[in-house]
Amino acid sequence: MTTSDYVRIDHLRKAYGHGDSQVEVLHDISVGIARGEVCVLFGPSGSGKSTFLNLLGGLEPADSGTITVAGTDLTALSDRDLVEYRRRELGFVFQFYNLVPDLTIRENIEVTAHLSAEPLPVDDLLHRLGLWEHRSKFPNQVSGGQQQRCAIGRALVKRPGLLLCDEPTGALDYKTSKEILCLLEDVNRSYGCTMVIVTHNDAIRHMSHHILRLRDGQLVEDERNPHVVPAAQIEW
Amino acid sequence: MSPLARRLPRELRHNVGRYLGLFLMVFLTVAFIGGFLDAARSVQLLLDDWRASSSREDYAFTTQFQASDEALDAASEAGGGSAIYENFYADVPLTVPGHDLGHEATVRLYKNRADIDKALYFDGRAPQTDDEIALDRLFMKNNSLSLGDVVEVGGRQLTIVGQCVLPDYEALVASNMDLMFDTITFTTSQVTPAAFDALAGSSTVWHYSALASKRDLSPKGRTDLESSVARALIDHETTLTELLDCDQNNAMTFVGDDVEGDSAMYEILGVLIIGISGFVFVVLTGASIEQESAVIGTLLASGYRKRELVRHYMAMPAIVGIAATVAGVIVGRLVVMDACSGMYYNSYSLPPFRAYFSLDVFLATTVLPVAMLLAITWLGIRRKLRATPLAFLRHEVGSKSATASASLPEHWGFVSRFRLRVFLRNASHFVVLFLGIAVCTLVALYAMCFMPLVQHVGSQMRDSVVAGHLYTLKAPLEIDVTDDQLAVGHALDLRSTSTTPTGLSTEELAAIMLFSLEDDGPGLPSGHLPNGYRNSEEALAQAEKFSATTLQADRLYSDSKESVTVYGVDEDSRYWDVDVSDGRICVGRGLAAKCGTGTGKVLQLYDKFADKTYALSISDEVGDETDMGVYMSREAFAKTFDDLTDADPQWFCGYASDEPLQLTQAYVAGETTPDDMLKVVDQLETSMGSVMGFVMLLVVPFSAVVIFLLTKTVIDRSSTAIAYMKVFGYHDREVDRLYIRSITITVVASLVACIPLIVWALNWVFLIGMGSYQGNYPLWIQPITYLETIGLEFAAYAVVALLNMRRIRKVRLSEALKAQE
Ligand SMILES: Nc1ncnc2c1ncn2[C@@H]1O[C@H](COP(=O)(O)OP(=O)(O)OP(=O)(O)O)[C@@H](O)[C@H]1O
Ligand SMILES: [Mg+2]
Repeated sequence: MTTSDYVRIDHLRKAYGHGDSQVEVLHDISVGIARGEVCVLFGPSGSGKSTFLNLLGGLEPADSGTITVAGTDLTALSDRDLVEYRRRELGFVFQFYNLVPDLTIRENIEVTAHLSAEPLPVDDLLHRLGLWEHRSKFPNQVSGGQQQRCAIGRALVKRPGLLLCDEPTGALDYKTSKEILCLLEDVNRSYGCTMVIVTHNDAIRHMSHHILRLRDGQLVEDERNPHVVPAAQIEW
Repeated sequence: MSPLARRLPRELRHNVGRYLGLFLMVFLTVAFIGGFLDAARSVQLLLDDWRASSSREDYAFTTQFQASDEALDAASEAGGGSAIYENFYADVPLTVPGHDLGHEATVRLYKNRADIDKALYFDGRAPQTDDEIALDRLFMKNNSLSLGDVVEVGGRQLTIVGQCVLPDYEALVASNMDLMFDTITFTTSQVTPAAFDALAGSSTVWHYSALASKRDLSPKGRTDLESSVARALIDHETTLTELLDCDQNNAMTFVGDDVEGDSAMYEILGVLIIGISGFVFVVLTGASIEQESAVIGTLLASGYRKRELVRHYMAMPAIVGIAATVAGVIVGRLVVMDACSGMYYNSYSLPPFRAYFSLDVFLATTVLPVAMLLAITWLGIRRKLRATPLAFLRHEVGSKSATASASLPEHWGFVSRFRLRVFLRNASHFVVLFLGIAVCTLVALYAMCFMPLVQHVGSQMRDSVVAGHLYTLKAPLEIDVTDDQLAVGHALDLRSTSTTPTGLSTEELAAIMLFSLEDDGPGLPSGHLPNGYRNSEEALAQAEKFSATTLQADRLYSDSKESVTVYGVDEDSRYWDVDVSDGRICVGRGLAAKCGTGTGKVLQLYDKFADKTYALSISDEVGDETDMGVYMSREAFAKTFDDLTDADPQWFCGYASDEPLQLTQAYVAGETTPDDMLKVVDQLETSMGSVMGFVMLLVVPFSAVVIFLLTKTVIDRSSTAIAYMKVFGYHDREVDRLYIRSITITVVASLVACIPLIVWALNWVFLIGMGSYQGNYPLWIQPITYLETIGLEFAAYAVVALLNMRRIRKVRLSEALKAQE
């Protein structure tokens, strides 16, 4: 871990509830993520993965500790500045795609393209996502994999420095999941954006540079993967 | 423009029903209220213009006998150089040869006016020959008369050559004491001076109209001036029977007051309805926001600002609101305004309608509703979007309120628990629904109860006329007379109906004759005048003398004054059931309510002619809630009003009699019969009927739309649940039972629950709304009216329920399968 880390987390704590019913979900987490890394976060259900991601995305305030992304300390930002941070720096992909149902695939991507002064060319992105033929369809007219690709496109189009994916393949079958992973890998290579992927799929560790594991809110694994395997070659 | 904007046309297409509903709500309101306010303001401006252009009088007075030139000169001088014009009139029966009007009719004849209160002709021209007449427009319309028709007035046939309106009779109020104007049996008219002299005869009323030299006097300045005029006349031995400032003359203030009162009511109604529309907008948009909560969460997480989303969700309400307002203004101005002005033209004698543009009304009916709608919607949406992005992602917005997640007793049946859940989850919808229903029901009930109320009050007032005939006299006139006295009385009567070649006024003649009576023996001990006609013994036995005078009292809920008649009656009166022994004074319950007096209180009465105040201690309340009289014994009356009675304990000025009496006409000031009171009812039916129907046209569709929008949303936001239930094997009918039934129960409960609230509110509406009218109008609602109103609103709901059932049928199973989380 060096001070040149793109993401720097120190002594992060987060609890839910009040008084007796208070439960600490994240205990004293410290970790650094380098620029351009694909970082994968494992952990059993309820271990605090989503919470970690939410804190990193500035969706929730931490109880203590600091989160620094690209030199900015999130814990010191006002709500207004947090919005600006997300606007500039962040892309989100969820297990459920959360597309706007009455906008077409293309328009769904344009919705975030609008937020950036220099978005990626939407047509290129659509080709790259394999959505070109589907660009005029509405979300309910395409498959789950296509919807997820669109959701990834939506997150990418504004060139985020940090892409946070919460179980991006959780709702997809083997083949489609693999396609999505290839796409994420491709995105990482082409655009150099840092990724944090929450998943239950152990095989994904092979394609990532950095592996984290949470258990009961403790960081129990924090390793670099010296032998990164292309996504197309991993199997499970 | 944000790419999100591309949703808007699709959103509109997918939710046509919702946006059409929102459009209709605003459109109806703006069209109706705006059209009405435009019409009302036009009428007001029209009247202002007319008052100036027709040289309408500033004040008028009536003398008992024709005033001498010296008296008039003195009056003019006392009035700061007022220009006083003769404006004599006579009320004469009118019939139409070969045509039964179905009622008696009275024409008030005036000579063609030239200098003051100039007539305005709708059609035709002023009479030029002695067999021509011009009549009031409304009277002609209500009696199907047209130019060229012949009417019979005082035995002469006259041809109608003009259809006119007079500026001093905007409302056809025959006497300032009348409760109501009368456009059915009363008309003003103009004839040539020669025709007037031939027709008026003994019924001439010596009426003078005046223009103050300064036309911009304050009301106070004018009243002071009028007091000096009155004093000057009295100093010249002239008896005034009436002195009326234009601001106190109902014929000239009725329309203005009415229009003003209506406008205020419509403005309040408009604000209420637009406010409710705003809440409906908020609730509906809020439902969309909840439905799209995951998307909103994602957008917020990706860096969208709240402000951008607020703007996005504001777009549709703003577009719909503005479009509806524009359409409403156009339809209001083109269609509704004419309909509304038509209602005023059904009641009043106004100059031809002309639409005026006035900026404040325009702003109040365009910018104001849009601003109100948008402000309410903006606040609502902002509130709704206040949650954190995470709350949106977790679907925590709105549905997780404390009540909605309250635990319900386990021993309740599933169905009732389920229904209660539907209710709790949609509590905000039902609150707005309740408000909408309450306001609409208030207006509907008001409209529906009005005519029965008028009829009820009419019959009460009919009963309050204690005798078959109440004659009021200009001077005490004895009817129990000897033959000698009768002869004198008869001679007096003859004298008064023909011209006096001696040049003596009737008043002077009467004095001479009375003097002769006293000299020769058969004089009247009281010094009163003898009647000129013989009445039967039975008639004499049941006729009863009374005294009366009209004064002013302060109203409780209005700055204006109520005209109050004080009666002096016999202690053992056969007609008045009041205990006035030992100087007791009683007030009618209506007066007590209207002027805040009652048992044990002191009632202040003002005499505006003499500028005097009387304080009467009230011992008792009598009669019903429309009784506006003050009662005391004749002796007490004579003592209290000694200016009027010369403290003569025998003084009186009227007869109450069940039998008709024959009296010397020159001394009769008026006759009231119970049926006169029913004329009020007829008049209100003629002129108010359409007003009430008109209001219903607004509120019934409006409430249907409100109910539709809100209940539809309840179903829409439950569509996933409904889809699940169908997947589990529920039949449509069973789903109806769970959803439609809870909605129906809520709607019916709202309807019933709001009634006491509404009755309470209506009471105030009546107290304040009718506060400046003569008489007391307590709220009275027939039980059937409640049922009718609720029935009507429920019928509107029934249509909505059918639409909702169709909606439930249309929920597709795939909705459940697609559902996320
Ligand atoms: N808003 C909240 N209020 C209270 N407790 C919460 C809240 N959100 C999460 N938790 C608790 O925090 C713990 C961690 O939740 P989190 O969603 O981070 O787990 P996760 O690792 O993402 O699990 P999964 O793999 O099932 O998504 C859980 O025990 C959860 O019950
Ligand atoms: Mg999770």
